[in-house]
Amino acid sequence: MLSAARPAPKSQSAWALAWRRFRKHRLAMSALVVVILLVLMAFLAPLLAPYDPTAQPTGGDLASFYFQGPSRAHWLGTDDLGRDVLSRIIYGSRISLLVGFTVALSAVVLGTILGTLAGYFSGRPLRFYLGPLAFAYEGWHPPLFALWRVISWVLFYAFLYFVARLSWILASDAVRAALGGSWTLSNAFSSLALLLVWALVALAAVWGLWGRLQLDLDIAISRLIDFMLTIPTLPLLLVLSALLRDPGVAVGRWAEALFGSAASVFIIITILVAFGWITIARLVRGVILSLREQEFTTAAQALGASEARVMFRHLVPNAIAPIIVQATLEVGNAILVEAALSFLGFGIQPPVATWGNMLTNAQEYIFSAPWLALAPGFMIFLTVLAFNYLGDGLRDALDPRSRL
Amino acid sequence: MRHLNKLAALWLIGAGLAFAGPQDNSLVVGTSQEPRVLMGDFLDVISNQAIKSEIQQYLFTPLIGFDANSQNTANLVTEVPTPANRRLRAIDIGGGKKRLEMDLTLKPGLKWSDGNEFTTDDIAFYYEVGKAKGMPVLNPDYWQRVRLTVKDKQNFTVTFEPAYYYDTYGSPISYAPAHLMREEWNKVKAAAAGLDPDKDAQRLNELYRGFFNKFSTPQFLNSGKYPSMGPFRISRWVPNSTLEMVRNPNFPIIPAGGADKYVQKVVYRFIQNTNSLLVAILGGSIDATSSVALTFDQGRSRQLTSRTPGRFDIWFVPGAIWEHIDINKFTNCQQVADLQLNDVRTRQALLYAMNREGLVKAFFDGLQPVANTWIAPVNPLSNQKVQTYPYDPNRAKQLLAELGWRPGPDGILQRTVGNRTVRFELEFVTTAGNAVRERTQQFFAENLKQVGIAVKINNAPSSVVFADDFIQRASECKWTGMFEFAWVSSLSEDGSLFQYRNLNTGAIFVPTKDNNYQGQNIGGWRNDQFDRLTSQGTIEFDEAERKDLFAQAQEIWAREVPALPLYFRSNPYVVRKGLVNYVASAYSGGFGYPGWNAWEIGWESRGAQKRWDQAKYALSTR
Amino acid sequence: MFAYTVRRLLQMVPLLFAASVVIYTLLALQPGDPLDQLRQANPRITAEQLEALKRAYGLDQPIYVRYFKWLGRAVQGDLGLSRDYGISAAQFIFQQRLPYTLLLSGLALLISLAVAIPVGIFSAVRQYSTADYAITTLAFMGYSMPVFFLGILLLFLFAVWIPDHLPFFPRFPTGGVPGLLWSDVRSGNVGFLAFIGQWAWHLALPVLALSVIQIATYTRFMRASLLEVLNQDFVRTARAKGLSERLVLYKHALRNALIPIVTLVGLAIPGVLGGAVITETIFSWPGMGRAIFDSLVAKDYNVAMAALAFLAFLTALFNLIADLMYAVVDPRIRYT
Repeated sequence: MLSAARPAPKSQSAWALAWRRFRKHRLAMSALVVVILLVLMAFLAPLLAPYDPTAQPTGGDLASFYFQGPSRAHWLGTDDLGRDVLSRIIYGSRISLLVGFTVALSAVVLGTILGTLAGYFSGRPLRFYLGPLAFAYEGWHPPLFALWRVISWVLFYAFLYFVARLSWILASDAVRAALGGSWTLSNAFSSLALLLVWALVALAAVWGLWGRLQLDLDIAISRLIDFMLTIPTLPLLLVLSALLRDPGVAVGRWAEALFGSAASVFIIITILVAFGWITIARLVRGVILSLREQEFTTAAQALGASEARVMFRHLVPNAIAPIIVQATLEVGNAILVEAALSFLGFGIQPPVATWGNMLTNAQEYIFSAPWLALAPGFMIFLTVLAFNYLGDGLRDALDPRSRL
Repeated sequence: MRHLNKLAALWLIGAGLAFAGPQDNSLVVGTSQEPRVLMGDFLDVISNQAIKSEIQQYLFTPLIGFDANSQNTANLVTEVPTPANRRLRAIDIGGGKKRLEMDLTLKPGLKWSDGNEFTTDDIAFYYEVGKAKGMPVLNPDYWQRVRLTVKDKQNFTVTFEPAYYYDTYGSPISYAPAHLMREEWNKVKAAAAGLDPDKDAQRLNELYRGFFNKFSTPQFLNSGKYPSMGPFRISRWVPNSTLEMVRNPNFPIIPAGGADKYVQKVVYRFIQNTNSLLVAILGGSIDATSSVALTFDQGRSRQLTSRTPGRFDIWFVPGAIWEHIDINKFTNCQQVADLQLNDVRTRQALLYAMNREGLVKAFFDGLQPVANTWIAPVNPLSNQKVQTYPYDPNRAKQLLAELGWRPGPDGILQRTVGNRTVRFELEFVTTAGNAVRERTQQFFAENLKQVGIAVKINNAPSSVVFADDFIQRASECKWTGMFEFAWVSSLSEDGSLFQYRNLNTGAIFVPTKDNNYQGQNIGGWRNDQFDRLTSQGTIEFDEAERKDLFAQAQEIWAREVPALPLYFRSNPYVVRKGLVNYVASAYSGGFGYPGWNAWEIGWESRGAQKRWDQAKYALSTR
Repeated sequence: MFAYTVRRLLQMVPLLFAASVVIYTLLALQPGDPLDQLRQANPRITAEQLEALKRAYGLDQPIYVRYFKWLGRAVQGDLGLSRDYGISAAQFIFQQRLPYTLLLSGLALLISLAVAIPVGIFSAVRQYSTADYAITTLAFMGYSMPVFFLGILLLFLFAVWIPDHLPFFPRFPTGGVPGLLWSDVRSGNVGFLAFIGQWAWHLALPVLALSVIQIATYTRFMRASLLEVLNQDFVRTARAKGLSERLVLYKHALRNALIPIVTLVGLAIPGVLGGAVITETIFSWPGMGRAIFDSLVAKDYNVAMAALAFLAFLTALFNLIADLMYAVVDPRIRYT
């Protein structure tokens, strides 16, 4: 009784209003039903699937079990190893949805945080570094900054040490050779470079005692985005897949332990998140930039709310509509990309069935068994379509300007 | 009118509806690979693609050819050196090793396609470039052993020291057009004079590559300046599309009935995607496929086979590509020790558990035979009377039980090592994206599950798994179980795939840190008897003796099964009816490509006479 | 504005430097090295010979030395030789691949815009009409189609299935470029129309495959953007003034609605020039995407580096242009 009365009546009606609007969007409603069915299918796969998705026929004339067309026993036929396509489709939904949801969720969380920070602090550079000998009004306030101030000294000097050490590691051979009398151009160049780097490090160390640095988070994050955009995905994928397969690398062992036979899922999710947050961060930044100029923000600030509270209790909830919309689109996008990666040989390992690797494999038999491509192709299509409609419906429903 | 015809013809070629075949006495070959460079790169410094070697058979006829029956034929020389004609001498040089001397005489009146005389100077030029300091050749072993002595414009002697039995297979040396390239080469030589192959290797490399590149790009070859010494010469190369070659009138070998009865123009069409290539064949615009064209499955696809009767023959040429699973036998790896992969009984059990017969029947209609050793049955050194491992899961279970394995609660075998319980879970690596391999892999995984062995698949794109720091590092446990891939073997078999040490050179072939991870015995097998037999076999010139040595080596190999032999691949060829002498065998021309006898390829309806029957060297789906 | 532009241009220098370092490091970290293939091709190669080859390709030096050597040459315009093709990497990328990509991806982009903009406008003006629903549905379907599925489907339909069943239906080419060059037209061997026809014939399917998704995306964007503008006050004012709907739409609303589209296209251009690896693979089209993919697989790192660095540069450049364009077209945004 009591709990029912607790939620603020206003917000309840706002969501109820959105829901009423959403229900009117017939296609979006059907999309929602499709998504729910898909999720159910993924959860109930062991109950729904008529066969084990990896079970192969044994004994007898094996070839006769392969590439069967649709029949009563196998509604969608059998694949190149006599496995039931329907069961594989049902189990495949697990990976596709796992990839889709995990990527969308992680990308949204990461993108929202970075986008909010960028938007909220745009044009208001933060104290980023304040040397130990630097005098500054409020130099130790708030306590959080005081803590960061000390940490930043450690980080700064550790970094300088790292640079100095690294340059020595890189140049030491050449320098030793040079001291040993072998003055080739490359040795001389390396020695000079080492001296230069060390001089710079020494200068930076002195500067660090008194120095102060302000950082506009917006610029930092925006340049980070620019930088991310210039990083090519393909070589990154190759490197990661080699790295994660190396038992000598901790991440590889960890991914292996956590995901078992589907460790490659981890690689794909990582890559998709690494590039997926960018869109959301840009979007959120834009929304926050305009929201922070509005009265309610100023009011909250005037009331003495902390920056974090203003950002995440007042601003982000008001930006939630475009974020949700973008998230649904991201789900569909991630599923598509997973399929495309399978096509390029970076997909999820067999025998785990995913729609992406089923479709890729079917391409091999497009002339002998074209129907094999239809089921996974259609499922990818249907899922992405459903999520797009869902996003569209949510956009209309959550947009206060749209008509009732 | 002539102009108009030309236009029409071009239009049709572009449209993929060209009147291929007998109508204009031409041949259109479809391939999925395009050569990067041709001709000028005569040492394969820039590229050693299969398609390059195949096409160059039309442009550079070897001095001594190697026909579909694996016999030497004198193409540009008067006769093949044999002990009988006293042109071939094997001289003992101690330590069981021999020096081989071959006297050769060029046919009289040979001419390049540009009319220049073809002499021993062209051979000497080839030799000089190959021997140049710091030349990044692909077969340094050959260049270290070969020596050339020119007597006069027609006579020369080639020497190998130490000699291997396969030095007498095919042409002992090649040639390059000195009259075209010598001048540029002298410039390169002058520029390279002051460079030290150790210190300035990169600079040298760039100089050399620049030299070859100058004479091998489509742009240069389209200028028509590079002469051919084969039955055809390049008339036009449109990158990413087609390569056209027309008959070389100066070619010395005249096929039966006159050259005009045979194909006058050969067009290679490049279609990278093999599915697209298949569609092009179905569309009728291609007369034959190259050695790099359709996949085995495409060759058997219903789309193709249902349309071919009366129009095309589909051939499956058994080749020497050996599909197998290597096994990590380095006991310093925990998994290897736990699973006792170094124990021969474990490997035998794995082999008994795997239904290879069922696989080749179900997947390949039996067109790719089960392998029993690493030497292909088409190789004369092959020994078919070795121990075999027919599918027998009960025998596998029995062997595993002998090794102490008992079924665990989940049906997977386990045993106790010290105080640990070990599950029989085996890593299985292969190249991701290779549909056939991934399919066989899953098939065998199911087989192994039946006897209680769990398989953990760990695939990656070929550039990842074939990288030096993966495939060569079994000793560091980068892969810990099975690794499926293929070796391409030629007739010159020397057993180095499974040697620990080559007794002739002293090289160690098991890749470990000690030898900088060199060698192809990647699983780390060691059998001194095997090393002795194969090393001796390589320098044995008596054929019967050699066969016996290799037969013994194969018996040891089959008993020990250091790797699990799966099957030998067959290469599918689609050839239009009526096209004759377009024939490939396992070793034709050295590599098993068609086109080794390019001058006699022709259409029966145009008067070409059939000399070679593909049916003798291949299986067919009918 | 000018100061802002200069500042951003200056910021691009460290950005590109960082990007090139990262790309170079990524390439250097790639599993295996260019000698793997040589090693596999020749079983009898010995450790010493391999060492010599390693030196010949400069692979014996540490990464940072290689990077600075590369950088030193790159700023002088020398991007090194392609190990695989034997020609200079720049020549390979800019002469042999970029034109094909421009043709395919550029054409697909133009066609997409030509279709998407009018359709999007129509859809927005007739919001919630049957036509709008139909267009939305089609757009979503196009957007949800995996490109390689679509590509294979098109190939199967237009090159195999339909020609098989309809005797007079022309069989579309299955990929690759036609064997006709511009030089053929110049030398008079082939007519101009035949030349264009051939290329169009070969481009039809890949352009179609590439366009579908872009049409879907741009249609949705155009519709959303125009609806946004139509809801704004100045449009209402214009309407209230009694201007004709046509004038309101084309004179006032459309101009503003096109702004985000222009930006979007600007941001898409580096992607266009980067090629479409999947479409290029399916249709055997020798474009940039395929070149990059192949160079990575073949470990032809000079080519990969040249192409990727070029794309990184384009991405940074067009990002900047897009930001500046915002300022130019939208007077509300001020950069200082």
